[in-house]
Amino acid sequence: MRILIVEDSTNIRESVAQALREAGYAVDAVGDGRQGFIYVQTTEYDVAILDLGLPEMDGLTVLRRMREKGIATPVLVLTARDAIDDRVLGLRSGADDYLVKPFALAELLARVAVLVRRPHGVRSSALRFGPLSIDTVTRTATVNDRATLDLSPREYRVLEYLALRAGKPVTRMELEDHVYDERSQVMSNAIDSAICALRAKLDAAGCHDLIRTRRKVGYVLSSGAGR
Amino acid sequence: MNSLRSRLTIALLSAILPLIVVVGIGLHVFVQSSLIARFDDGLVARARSITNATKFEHGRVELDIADEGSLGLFELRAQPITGTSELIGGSRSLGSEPVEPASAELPTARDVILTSGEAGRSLTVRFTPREDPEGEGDFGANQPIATTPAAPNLVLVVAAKRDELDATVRSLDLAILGCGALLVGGVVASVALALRRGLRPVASLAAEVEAIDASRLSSRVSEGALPLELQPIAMRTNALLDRINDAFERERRLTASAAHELRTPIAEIRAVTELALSRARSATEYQQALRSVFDVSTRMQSSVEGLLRLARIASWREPPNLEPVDIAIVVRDAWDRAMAPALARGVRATFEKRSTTEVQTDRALVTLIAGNLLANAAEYTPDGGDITSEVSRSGERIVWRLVNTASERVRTPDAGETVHLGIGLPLVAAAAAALGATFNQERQSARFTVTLEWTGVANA
Repeated sequence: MRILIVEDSTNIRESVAQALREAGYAVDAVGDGRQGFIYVQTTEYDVAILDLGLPEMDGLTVLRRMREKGIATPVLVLTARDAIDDRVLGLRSGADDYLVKPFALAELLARVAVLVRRPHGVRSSALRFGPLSIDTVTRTATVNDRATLDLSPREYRVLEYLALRAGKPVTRMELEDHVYDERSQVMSNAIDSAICALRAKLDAAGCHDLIRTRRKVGYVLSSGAGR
Repeated sequence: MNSLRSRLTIALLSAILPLIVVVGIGLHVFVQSSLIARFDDGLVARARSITNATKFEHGRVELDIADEGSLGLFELRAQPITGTSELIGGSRSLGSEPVEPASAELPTARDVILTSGEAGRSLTVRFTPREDPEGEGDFGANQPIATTPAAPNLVLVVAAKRDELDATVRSLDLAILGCGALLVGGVVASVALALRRGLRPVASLAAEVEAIDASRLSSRVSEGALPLELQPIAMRTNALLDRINDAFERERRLTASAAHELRTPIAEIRAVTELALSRARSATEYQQALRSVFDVSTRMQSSVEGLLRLARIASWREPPNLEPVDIAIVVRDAWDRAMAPALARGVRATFEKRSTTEVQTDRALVTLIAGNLLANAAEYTPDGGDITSEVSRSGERIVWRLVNTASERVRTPDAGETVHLGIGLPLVAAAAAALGATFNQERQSARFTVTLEWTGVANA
């Protein structure tokens, strides 16, 4: 899952970015509205965290322009403005959620997790595919509710992305875009090797043929077992 | 008793009730004296009848009247020459009544106790009977008359019981008391009613004012329907409410702005510390976190000090420390502190000073304002943009105008989040107001202009 942070306070921007990375997200962070608007146009983010008081281009302007251009990325507005009118204005301008400073990182992470699931129509934080369970809050995968799979952050991100789009094919490029951020040095076969490692761990745990390859398309996580 | 109605009731009744009592007493005295006068007139008429009927003939005093009983109570005596007087005639019912001495002023009416023990009233008349040499009669025949033909001086005492008079007086007194009581009751009721009606606008005004609490400071007292005497009170009350409302609104804006200004640095501290504590970190990471917290808290300290000073001045708890301050110098010093990020991005800055720009003002607060505005301009003027500062004087007016190339950050002139360092624009405006200066901000296309203006500046 790839997150964009647009926040002019360096401390907040770097702390939130670090917290999100440690939670397993791929994160891009910029310090002004103009850059933020460029980023959301060029990359498909799963969630954008947007401050309102930004240099170069105001956060609300970024938000309106995003929606005008049809960019449906869920947006979490992060601001010091706590008046009801400000919240209403933010939500009416296209924000999906609103978090007032100061905030708890844990709450921000929980809200981001909700926003990540929302476009895929998933209400619960627990995804289930036969014996495999994925908890998007604790970011863990278990088999038969007992054995926890030992997944690297990259492997978990791939699994979660496929799980949220279960039954739909996902291209390598799309996986790369959502699993790695701009700081990552991505090798050309990075996704393939991650899928390979993931399959091996799933097979070893008894979850066979969960991830299938669609020739010339990409990968798909079988939704046969239901969520 | 603090009620206005009670006070007025007591005052009015204190004035009216004694008047009623005095009038009642006066009426009693007038009626009594009138009745006694009429009673005395009756005695005079009887005395006149008796004196007319008294003759002196043949050297004797005679009472020429057929029915002596019709004369009521009376005594007729010779004027005493020595010691005691001589009774000539009468009803003898006044036996115990002493005859007036010769020297007394006559006729005289006075209250007496009759022989029967009843209260009465007597009239004493001194007269000389008419002489009638042809007349006959035996009145007082057993009384030898002196051979001297001269008629003697006589004293006539006429009396009558006064029980009917007293009864009439008592009846009239009771009537006066009854009427007085009714009058007092009527006056009390009328006063209460009149005061209630008269004070209704006051009660209405009080109710309107009472209904205005801290949550309804925008309400106003209706002035039109009030009597002329109360209209100044309503006008003053409304003016006072305007000032209170303005003060509350300033306080609210100041508090909201202060809260807003402090949210971001608190959020920074919280995010940095929460991240640092979320798992075990290296010593370098902890050191970086502590450094960040220190930097933010230092910046917060400056903000809080500015806010506290502004709050004290805005709430009149601390007067501005007025001294001659050259605005152009303060602006230049503030720019020296703020220019680094702007110069690094190729921002061009021009500072102009025209004539003397000295104002009696609070140096610390002006420094705070200038520092914030210039830090804002330095941080948010786009790369390669320009900043122009001009301090000028025109008569008693000194204006500082700061123009910078505007970024898209400044959305509207009343945007509250345009300053990230220290205090925001609403607080800058509040600080300017506390100094008696006027702060304005304006955005025109790609330029953002703020002005700070002092008027009524004395000539240097």
